[in-house]
Amino acid sequence: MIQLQNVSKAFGENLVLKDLNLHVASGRILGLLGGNGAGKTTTLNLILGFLKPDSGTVSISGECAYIPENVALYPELTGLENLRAFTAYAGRDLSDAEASALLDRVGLAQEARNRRLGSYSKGMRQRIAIAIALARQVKVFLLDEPTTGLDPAAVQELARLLRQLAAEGAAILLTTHDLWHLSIDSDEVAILHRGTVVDHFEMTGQSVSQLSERYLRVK
Amino acid sequence: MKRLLQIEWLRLRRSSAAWWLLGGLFAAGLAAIFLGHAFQQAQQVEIADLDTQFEKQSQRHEHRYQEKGEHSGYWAYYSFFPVHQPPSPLAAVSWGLRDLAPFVTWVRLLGLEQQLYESGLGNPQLQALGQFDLTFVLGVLAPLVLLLLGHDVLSRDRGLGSLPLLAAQAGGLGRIFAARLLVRFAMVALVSVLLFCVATVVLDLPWSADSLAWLFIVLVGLLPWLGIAALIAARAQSVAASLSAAMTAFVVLVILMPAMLNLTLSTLFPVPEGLELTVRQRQVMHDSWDQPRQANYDSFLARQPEYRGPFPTVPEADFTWRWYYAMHENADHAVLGLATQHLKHLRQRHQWSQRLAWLSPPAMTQTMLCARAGTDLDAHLLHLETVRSFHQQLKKHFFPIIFAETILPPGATRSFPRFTSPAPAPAAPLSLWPPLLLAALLLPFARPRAVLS
Repeated sequence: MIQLQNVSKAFGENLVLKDLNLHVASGRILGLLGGNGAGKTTTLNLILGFLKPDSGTVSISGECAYIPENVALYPELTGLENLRAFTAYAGRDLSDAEASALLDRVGLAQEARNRRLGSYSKGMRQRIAIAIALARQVKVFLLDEPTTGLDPAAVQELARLLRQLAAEGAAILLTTHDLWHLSIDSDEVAILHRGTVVDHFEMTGQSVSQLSERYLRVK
Repeated sequence: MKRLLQIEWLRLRRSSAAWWLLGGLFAAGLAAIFLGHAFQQAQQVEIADLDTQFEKQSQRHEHRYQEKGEHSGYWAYYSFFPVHQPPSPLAAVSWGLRDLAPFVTWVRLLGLEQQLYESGLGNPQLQALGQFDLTFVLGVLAPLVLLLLGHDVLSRDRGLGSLPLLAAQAGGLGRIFAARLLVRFAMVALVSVLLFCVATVVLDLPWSADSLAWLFIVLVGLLPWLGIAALIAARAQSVAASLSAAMTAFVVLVILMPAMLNLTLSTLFPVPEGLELTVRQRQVMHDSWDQPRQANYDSFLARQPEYRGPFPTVPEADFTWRWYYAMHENADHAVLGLATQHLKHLRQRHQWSQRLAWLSPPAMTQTMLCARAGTDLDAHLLHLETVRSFHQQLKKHFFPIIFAETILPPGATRSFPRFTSPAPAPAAPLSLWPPLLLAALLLPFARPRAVLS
């Protein structure tokens, strides 16, 4: 569960978030939609604890996993080694079998696992990042623009994976510009504009064009 | 922590830059060891040859002066007596002043001061960072490698974009930061220890307390640099910024700070140059030629009445060896105050160099290593004292003969004083608190900044 209550955050004179309220329940995927400067990344940074709110409260159930827009891991390590390294940073030592099972789960091809990361596509790096999150057995996932630069097949695969995680009880918050991705991924959508949620609705029954219309109306 | 250290070791192993840096350090160390070997060999060969040279000289003199019945003063005038300072085993790894100041002095019975300072002597302790010995490699280059390996342990993640993920995983960066720096420190320390082991084999260094203390100083001397690397790594926002900061710190601490310290100490404790002493002494000598000889002789006898003997007077018109050596003694006496001041100021400057060296970690390490190796200014001043003491022996041997106007008997050279190597001076107690204190002052400020600061 992710809960933001009356959260405000300013950088100097610039008020980025104003009385923001958001709630993502366990088993749900919330898509946070907004233009550049709307406050999406600041919201994620507040949830991650990288920033502190000026007012209001941020609470999450347990630890959260973060998958940034561009998953940057260590190019000198293989996919498998990156998984084990980042898991170790979180204080957990993965066995070979556990690491292998996690990479199976995120769909990383066998032959790619022992290759250094330099040859990985963005989608492959993203899978490693999700595997890292899964290894920590967290129930809160934050994804920042996860579909940027992914091909449609990779987007579909990501959507499948997120659905699976939600089905297992994870609360997922993703920020995106990608309306099509939102339409296939999200259970609900919140439209952020100038630091405030101006529209919040269930995705059920909404087409991409309807979503687009609601978004553009706000802008 | 063990797992974190393993990961960082794996990452470092995969870094070609790290291999180049550590390999370069090792290669530089090997070169320094072999140069040190050649340096020490050359000094040992020169010292070993002294007896042979002295014997040849003695044989020549027996033939030239004794057989021809020359005056003993004439004989003494042309006799040179070697006094040397043997290199300690560690001198090959810490050359110190041994390649700047004389380690062999051929002493004559003439005035001493001009002989002591003929080669001149500054105080290059704080500036002598350019000698390519193992002390330079481990005291200056090893810290540079540590800085280059450690300055970007977080800024590289920031540039790569992996810092948020890293921070989100770890909850805090402290342990990862510490593990990364520790692995890099351990690698530089390992190369230092390896080089020391190679040095013990190539240079035949003994596994003595002094040698181990030398190594210990090297390792402890790296700690302030670990603090500096940590401080930079914790605060820099980009690789370019951390690299600039690291290079600036290196230049300031290795070049500017020692130069500033040297300049300050030179101003605070002006040391009359050895050359000035020599010139003053020579001047007194030259003036004496034009002064009444008996007056000069009397002033000598007033100080050293034991040489009055049967000849308390000297002719004004004729040359006598008695008057000549008395004149040299008078010249030495005339510059005694200056010589004492020279040594006093040298010692003061050296003491302050040691006290202030903590402002520059490489100067501090070098000062401590050279002190341990017996190649610092203290050791050289001890050599000068040895020469002074041997010169006294020469006078005690020759003056009674010369002032009694005696001819040296056949085989006289066999009874001439011979210099024997002094037992090495015991090393000062090891004090490691300056580098430890410096590291302890720096490390608490080296906390990684928040991801988004």
